[in-house]
Amino acid sequence: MQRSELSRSQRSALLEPFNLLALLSIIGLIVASLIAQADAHYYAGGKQYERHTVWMLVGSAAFLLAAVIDLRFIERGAYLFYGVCVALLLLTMFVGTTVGGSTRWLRLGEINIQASEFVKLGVIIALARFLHQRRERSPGETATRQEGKYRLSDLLAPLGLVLVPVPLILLQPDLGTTLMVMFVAATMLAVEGIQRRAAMIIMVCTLIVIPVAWQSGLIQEYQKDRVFKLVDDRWEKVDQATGVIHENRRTQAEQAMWAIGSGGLTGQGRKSANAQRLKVFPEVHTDFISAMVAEEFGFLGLTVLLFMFWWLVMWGLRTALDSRERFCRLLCTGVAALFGWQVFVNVGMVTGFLPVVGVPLPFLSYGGSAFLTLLMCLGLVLNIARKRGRM
Amino acid sequence: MRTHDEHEDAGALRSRFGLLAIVFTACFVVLLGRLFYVQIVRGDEYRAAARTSFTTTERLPARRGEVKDRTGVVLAKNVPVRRLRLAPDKLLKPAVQAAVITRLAAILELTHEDEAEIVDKLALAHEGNRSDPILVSERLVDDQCPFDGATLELPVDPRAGASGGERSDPPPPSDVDAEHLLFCRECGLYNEPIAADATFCPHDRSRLTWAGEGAQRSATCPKCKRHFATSGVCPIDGQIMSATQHNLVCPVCKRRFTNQVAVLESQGDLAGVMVDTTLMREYTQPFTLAHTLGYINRVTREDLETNPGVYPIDGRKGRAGIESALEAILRGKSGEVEFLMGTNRTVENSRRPSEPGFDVWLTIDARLQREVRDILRYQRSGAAVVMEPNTGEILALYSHPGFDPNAWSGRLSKEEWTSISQNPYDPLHNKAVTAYAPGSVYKIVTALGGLREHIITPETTYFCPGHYEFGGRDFGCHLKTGHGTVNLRSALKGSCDVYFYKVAEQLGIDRLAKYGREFGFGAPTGIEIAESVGIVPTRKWYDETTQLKFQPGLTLSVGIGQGSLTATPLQVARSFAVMANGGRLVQPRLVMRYTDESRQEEQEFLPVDERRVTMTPDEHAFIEDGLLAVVNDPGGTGKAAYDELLKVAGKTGTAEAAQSRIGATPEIATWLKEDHAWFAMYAPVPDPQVVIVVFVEHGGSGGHDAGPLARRIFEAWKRLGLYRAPPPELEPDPLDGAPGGSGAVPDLPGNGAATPTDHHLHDLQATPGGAP
Repeated sequence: MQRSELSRSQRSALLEPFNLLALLSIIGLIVASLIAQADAHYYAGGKQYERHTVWMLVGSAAFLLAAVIDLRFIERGAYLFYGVCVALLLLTMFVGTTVGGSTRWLRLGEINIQASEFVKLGVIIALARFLHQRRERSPGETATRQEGKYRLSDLLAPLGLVLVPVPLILLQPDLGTTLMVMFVAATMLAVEGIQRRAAMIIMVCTLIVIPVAWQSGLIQEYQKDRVFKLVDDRWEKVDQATGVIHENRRTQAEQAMWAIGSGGLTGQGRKSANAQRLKVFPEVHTDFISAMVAEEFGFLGLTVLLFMFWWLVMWGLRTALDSRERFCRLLCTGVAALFGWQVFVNVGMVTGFLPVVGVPLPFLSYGGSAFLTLLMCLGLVLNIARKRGRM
Repeated sequence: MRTHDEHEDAGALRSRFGLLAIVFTACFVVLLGRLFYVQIVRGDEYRAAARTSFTTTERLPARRGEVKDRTGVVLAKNVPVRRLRLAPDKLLKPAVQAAVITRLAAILELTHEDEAEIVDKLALAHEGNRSDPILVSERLVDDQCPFDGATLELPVDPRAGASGGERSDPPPPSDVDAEHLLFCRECGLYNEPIAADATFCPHDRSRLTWAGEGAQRSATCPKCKRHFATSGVCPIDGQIMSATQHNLVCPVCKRRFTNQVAVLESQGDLAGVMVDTTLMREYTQPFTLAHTLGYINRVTREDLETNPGVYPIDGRKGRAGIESALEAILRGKSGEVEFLMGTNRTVENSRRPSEPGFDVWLTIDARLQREVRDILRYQRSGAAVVMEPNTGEILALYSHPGFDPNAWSGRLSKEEWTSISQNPYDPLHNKAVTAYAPGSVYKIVTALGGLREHIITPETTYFCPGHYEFGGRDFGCHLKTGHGTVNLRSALKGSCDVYFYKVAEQLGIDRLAKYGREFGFGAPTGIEIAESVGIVPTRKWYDETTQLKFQPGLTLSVGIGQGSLTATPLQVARSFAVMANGGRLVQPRLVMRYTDESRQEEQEFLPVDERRVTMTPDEHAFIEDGLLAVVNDPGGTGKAAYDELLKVAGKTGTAEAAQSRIGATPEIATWLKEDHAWFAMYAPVPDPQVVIVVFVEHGGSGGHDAGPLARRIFEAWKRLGLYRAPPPELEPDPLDGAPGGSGAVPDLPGNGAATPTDHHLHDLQATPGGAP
């Protein structure tokens, strides 16, 4: 096929309903993010809205760039990108700004860069490249069902790749992002196929690691408290010395429930008087923005939002499946997983059946680096979709 | 370079992707399900819970209006004080509560009873699950002496501040070893003493950080941030520190105080302790104006129920006197702030500012009131009223003994309560508006009745042998030897009972009652504060109220101001005002006006439309003649009130009022048997400007005991410049057809165009600028 035909087929690929709906979803989510940030600004003030609009422009440019760029370029630069992200992460550890007890950002003038967000993409493309190359190196292996899948020894290197940035993130502290990186990587690997035995061993190890991590101090007090609170609604943290109940203010989680509950079917509407309590809602710009949206737009609004996210996940998976190249497939899987897990954990914690870990809602939560990263991810998937999984 | 990897097991891959897609879809379905549950199924519940839990409203207290006298002297004002309250919900743990209370007891020097009271209140709060703060003290010593308001100072010699046994200190609290904080004047730091080899903080067992050497060796606790010193020398600047107990001295009264606010602030977080500033009511002239002003104290549950939404839980309400009568005007309107309470922060949602109360200006003249108090001070019990007869303005209203409304507004100590409630002379009632038997001051009613009903004329005479037989009984005259032949003038002058028995007899009880009511007896005077009404008995009243029912003899008693007749000193004053102003039944009033803070006039009180007592100028003149004789004639019972320069008209009253009281001491029992002493007067005649009534409960004799007091009040009134001398008289034009050679009397209101009679009623001393 010649270039012109390729282009035509690329163009027509975009027009397929599958991809069209995905584009619409992306636009829809961007619009939603603008509305959400505007309302968050109405309730709680702050500079987030201004900055968000700037990031939106940057992100849109990045999106377009990612959508047209040569994928081979991406593949070649994968390790470099990964390395830069990890370096930034290290830098954050030493000279990063601390807000609210965690050191996650690098400040460049007015701009804050959250390295851990870029690391998500870094891990995805680095892992994609690694596994792509890896398999390439042993073309002749035949596939019995088990043999075609990864053995434990095969997994060590990829896990190593993932686990390098993990402690750097965990110690910020940022449990949420750590978990996301691990989930995304796990999903990517799982879809490629893991031997049953290897999978077992990994699960057992995880089960051992969790209590060890709990006691070791890698997990912060307040993170533990959130788990307690999840398990027992009436649990109150009591100051041992004075017998004073630690938080007789309402916890984040409770406030979220009330906000969401108040949304009802159709929501209270934007900037409504009934929702004034959102003025004191913690993290309304960021992690808990879904609660605000739930209150304002109700069940129906949330359903539309979730649908758009779901569609993007499905689109990512479908594009992955249709890919001819493993690299593309892994990339799309990673992006789909990133979206899927983040939405699930965020809305889950906001609605109170998962413990509160700091996982932002894609697009809607404020975060320039996250927004940019997500748009780049989506741009890459669009790129792949256009080229039908060819590089 | 890369080859298409098409040998992958496409089917397995597809099934894995399918699985993943299903997993994610399932996740989303779970989310939707959860959202459905929260928003639809339990939505209403959450909405309701949200509404109540997020907001908290705080009242913004309104500034209570001040009460001032007619010249602007402040009588009741609001002063900022530091108060300490405990939050019950922070003291749930008994050990913590005990520790806090013990510490507070040491700092605030609380008695065991105080402590017990606090413990009780906390227990109640815990039971009822209430979190309203409990008041511990409203007068934390900060830098102002609570006794005289002077600014406290540190003693000059730092060592002198150490508790040197000048006062006996309360025993040290039991939880800590006789701990005294040490205070360095130089750097302002508080240190706790600690042993040099201590490793852990005595409060929270954290490891201490040590620094310094020798006498300046000190430690800090990284957790509670307290400082510890090993000697009496300040670790920072080497100055000798002083013990904070009793480390301040008042330059005026020389008492020593602990700076309680400073000590509390240096404690770090004593759980549940809240120190803030609040306004407290202060009465600048406590005993003098106690009854008239009243006092304020906390609202009771009933108050809250009958006035929903008006008072906060810890609000104050006026009781008695003006504070109570003008409560709605004085209290203003409290505002409200609505806060939204989030996890980390609290944000104001809406605010409605409070509206301050109005300031009230009384008609009282504070200086005169003070003089009145000084004059009545050594009596056992009584009251005085000083009134302007033309406008009804009350210049002084005093009841004796008084009390200290400052004590009633705050926490009354047990001793104070005991002394007040057991005081046999009853400091709690406002006697100026309590009804007693008026005695002979009531005779003006009988006199007017007699004149109007044409029973008597000024010339009518009766013979008084000292008693009068009627209905088989012997009614005595106070002068046992009898007055002889008396007419109206001499009967008033000598206060002859027999004359008035006869007039009363002919009037009959009901007509007598009618005139009594005309003079304003038996009915409210309309004064702003609560008052007794007294009794003007009629036949019907006797029939209904007494067992023996009406006996004609009772009419005689009532005619001389006894029987079941009772009247308040205020009513007596008003009746004399009627005489003074020539027949207008003025309404006595205490309030001149009320204004808002910026001194804009809000409401001026104007004299209300009054009734007129039907009395011809002649009738008025006849009675006044008698009243003048009482004071100015040599044989008058009221000669104690004689004034050389200004003519006084008055009447004495000695009312039989013997009573007994259970449990009275012999001294009190004797006292209770005495007659009430009354003296009512107005001056100067003509054109009276003041009415004075003095009532001495069981005081003995009107002329002997009440009269001199009234005279002294009159002196005070003059001395304070309250007498307005009349403008220089215009020389009478001989060509003017003015009758008589005594000079024309200008037709001033209240005087009537009196024609001179042979009784020389009006001694015309038209001296210009005649004020002494």
